[in-house]
Amino acid sequence: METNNNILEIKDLSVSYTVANVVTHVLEKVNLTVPKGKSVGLVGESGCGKTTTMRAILGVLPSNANIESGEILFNGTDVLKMPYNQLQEFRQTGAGLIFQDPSSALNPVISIKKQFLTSLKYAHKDKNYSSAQLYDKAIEALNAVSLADPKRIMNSFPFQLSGGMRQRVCIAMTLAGEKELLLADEPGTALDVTIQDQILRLIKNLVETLDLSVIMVTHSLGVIRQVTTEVNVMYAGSIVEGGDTHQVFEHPSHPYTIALMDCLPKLTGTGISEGIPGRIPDYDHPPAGCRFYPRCTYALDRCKSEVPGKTIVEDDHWVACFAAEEGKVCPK
Amino acid sequence: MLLFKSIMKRLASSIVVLLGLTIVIFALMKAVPGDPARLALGPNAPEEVLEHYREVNHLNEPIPVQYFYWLSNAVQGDFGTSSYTQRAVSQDIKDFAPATIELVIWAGIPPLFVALFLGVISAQHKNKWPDYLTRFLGYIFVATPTFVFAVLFILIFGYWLPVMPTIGGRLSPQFTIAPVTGMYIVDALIGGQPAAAWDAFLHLLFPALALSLGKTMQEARITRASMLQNADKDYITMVTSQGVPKKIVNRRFLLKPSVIPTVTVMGMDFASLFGNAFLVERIFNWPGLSSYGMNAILNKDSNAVVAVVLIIGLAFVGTSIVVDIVAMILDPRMRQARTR
Amino acid sequence: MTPERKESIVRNWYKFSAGGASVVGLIIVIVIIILAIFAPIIAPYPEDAGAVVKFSESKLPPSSKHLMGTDTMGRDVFSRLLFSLKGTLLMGVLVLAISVPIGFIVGVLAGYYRDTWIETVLMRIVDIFLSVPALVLALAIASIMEPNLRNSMIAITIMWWPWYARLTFGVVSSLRTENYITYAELTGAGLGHIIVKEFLPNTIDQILTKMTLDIGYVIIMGATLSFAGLGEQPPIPALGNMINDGVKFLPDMWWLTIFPAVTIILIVLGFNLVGDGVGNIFNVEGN
Repeated sequence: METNNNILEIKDLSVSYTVANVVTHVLEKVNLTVPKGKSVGLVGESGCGKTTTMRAILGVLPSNANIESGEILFNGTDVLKMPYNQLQEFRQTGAGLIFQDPSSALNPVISIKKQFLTSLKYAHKDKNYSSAQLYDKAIEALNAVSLADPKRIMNSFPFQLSGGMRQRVCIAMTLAGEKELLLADEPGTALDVTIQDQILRLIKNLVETLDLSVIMVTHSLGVIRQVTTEVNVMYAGSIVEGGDTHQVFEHPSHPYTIALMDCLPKLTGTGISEGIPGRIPDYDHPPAGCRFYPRCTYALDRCKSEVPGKTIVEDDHWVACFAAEEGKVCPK
Repeated sequence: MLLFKSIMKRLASSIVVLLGLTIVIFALMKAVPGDPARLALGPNAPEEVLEHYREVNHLNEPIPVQYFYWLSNAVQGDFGTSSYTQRAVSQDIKDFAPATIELVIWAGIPPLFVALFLGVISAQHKNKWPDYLTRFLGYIFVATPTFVFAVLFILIFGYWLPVMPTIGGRLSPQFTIAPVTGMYIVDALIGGQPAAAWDAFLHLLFPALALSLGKTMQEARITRASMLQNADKDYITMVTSQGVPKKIVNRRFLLKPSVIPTVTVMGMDFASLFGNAFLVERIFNWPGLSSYGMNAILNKDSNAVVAVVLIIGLAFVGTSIVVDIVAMILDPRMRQARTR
Repeated sequence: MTPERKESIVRNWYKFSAGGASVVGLIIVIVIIILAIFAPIIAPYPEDAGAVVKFSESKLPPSSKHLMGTDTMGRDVFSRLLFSLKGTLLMGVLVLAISVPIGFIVGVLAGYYRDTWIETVLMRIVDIFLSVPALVLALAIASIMEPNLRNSMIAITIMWWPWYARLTFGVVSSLRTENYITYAELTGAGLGHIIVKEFLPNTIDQILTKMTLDIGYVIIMGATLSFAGLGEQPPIPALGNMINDGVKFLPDMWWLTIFPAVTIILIVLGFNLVGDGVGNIFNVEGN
């Protein structure tokens, strides 16, 4: 893979939060690459650091977060080192974030119109659109996300809209900015399954027609299979397996990935899966070695103290696991 | 339309509350120990005169009937005679109210903007010296009772750095101001007397400060807290992530949702100024309704006490209705919420 | 002590002490409590807490012999101040100890019987008490009784419970429709059981936070009544009546006012800082 072919490269990103004097190491050396024009998946349990990664890309982490090390290269430039003006430009034209919870992503006391037009104005700052032009663009974007009666929506306040409508408004706001990279943080998860499905299909269509690059964050492998060409499996703040979506699904190599797939309900299955025993570790006292070690059925002695490196499984598929390295992991 | 409907609902429930308040106050008046006729007419009044007084004032009727008589008089603005000033209570109130209104307006409205300003500055410079200073003063001022402020001001600004007129009152004796609005500073300016206006301002400044400093810092603190809390909300992250400059985000998207909780608190604080004014007016010899009420309380002048408490209750309820309206204008969600 | 319990105490202490100010508050409060308890031992002139007259010592400014000077009757201000602390603290604690349970019960009943006449009646009564500044009605109530510490506490208590009724009502009425409450009812749990097992645990954080923040306000109101002459009566010392006595002798005998004034500020400051820390433990935004 050549560097200039990648729109985004995250290298060894570590992020911690400080809550009441306790430092929690949420992201530990995250590596993630998005080739131009591709949809890349990021999958993992709730609380494993997916949202933190997305926010770090745009430099909008909560005020108690601290980026400890790493690089986030957007078209070869490190976002973390950008001066304010360049960072603003990156946010305006480079990447846009779709939030997980549409009900909290819209300002409750300000009309949709004001929110939409303000963010649109800055997204197209260089083009000097008039407010009438901006308004037309907003209406167009609302139409594009299949919202009926966009003019009424523009004059509404968020609480007057349904959850699905709010999510569509958020997507429209992000897409109308015509950015190069779309960060979709579990879009629709907070909504009904049917609406969630609609939203996903909508994003997929838009990505295909607009030729965007996407990071699709989700905890659902089904979504990954439908939407992405590459996948990264995240566990407790680190990426444990990654590569071509087909290859990863064909030959899952990390015990965690295997366990995740076992959790998928299958039509031919014998009932509801048992889930993965144990839970994500405390980030204030993470295990010294592999973070999955306490829950892992294949755990070796060295897993306790050593952090596994990358092992190539296939041409476009890698895993970070000692057991897999030694060929001791065999999918059921 | 919704706005109008919720205001009407609010008014209706306020009337119920005020009626309830009259019952409480009336009960309080009846609980004053001693014969009301004796209290009103003095120890030397002969029994026939007392009996006549009781008859005229319906004191021989059962208590609920008395309440009815009292209420129908009160609604018409007749609160009886003050046993202390020997004048109609309603006349006393008319004479003393403007001074209190002037004081409360000055202690209520300008500090509101100061509080918002300090809160915003404090939040924007979190953990830098403007924030530390605001918070430090905030802790001290919030912990200081208003009467302590008043006493300390007299000592510091009345005697040690004599900038404040120590005799108190509203105006130095060499000035006379033709009454127009009843508020001296305004009236002096209307009458073209800048020196008198300045004098009135100096008289007003310290009582107003004593009344408002604690509340102001409290409100600044709430504004700061809600600014900081909202700064990490998704809807702020959303616009920031779209590349809207920080200044615009703060001004257009952060300030409004952060100010709404403060406005509600401010309204209640404004209304409670009438209460705290009781001692401040007395300490500064401010000839207002509250010092009149305080004298009435200390002299067990029940007609006057009841009238003052009721008037203040009215002002309190009126203010909270205004606050609700402001909050509804600011916060579209409240227009729909059930108001109680 | 189990390790989990120990860890949760450590965690709560971190939350409490974040920023450091609450620790200062805690120290102030502890010192004040110790001074109040041991006033008879610490006070250099314990007899000065009563109606003593020592003309030879009157009107002395602060010195090594009289740390805070003496009043017009020659009594040591420092000793009197120490003796006033007990009443001040009692005021804060007792008023809340009585008004909080009353307010809680009223709030729970109104919330549990939401949308019935019981809610209407109870909450309207609450509204009536909240429709006048608390200080005004407390002054009026205190004035019809014999002026002393106990009666001023009663007057403040009457004005204080409605706040807790409103707080509890808010929480309980929103919990009322939760499934687990309905479930508890269906399994035959009585109201008393639901109150203790469901409503109390859900409101206790907010109530405790408000209580620690309120102690300071109750003390302020008590001192205000005392300053107005409706609290503890001379010769018994109270912070409010000491300041009231001192005002007449400003500016010459400034020590009569300054020391009690600073003491009130310190006490209230201490409790407010502790209240902030408690709020941090429970993640309740205090105001």
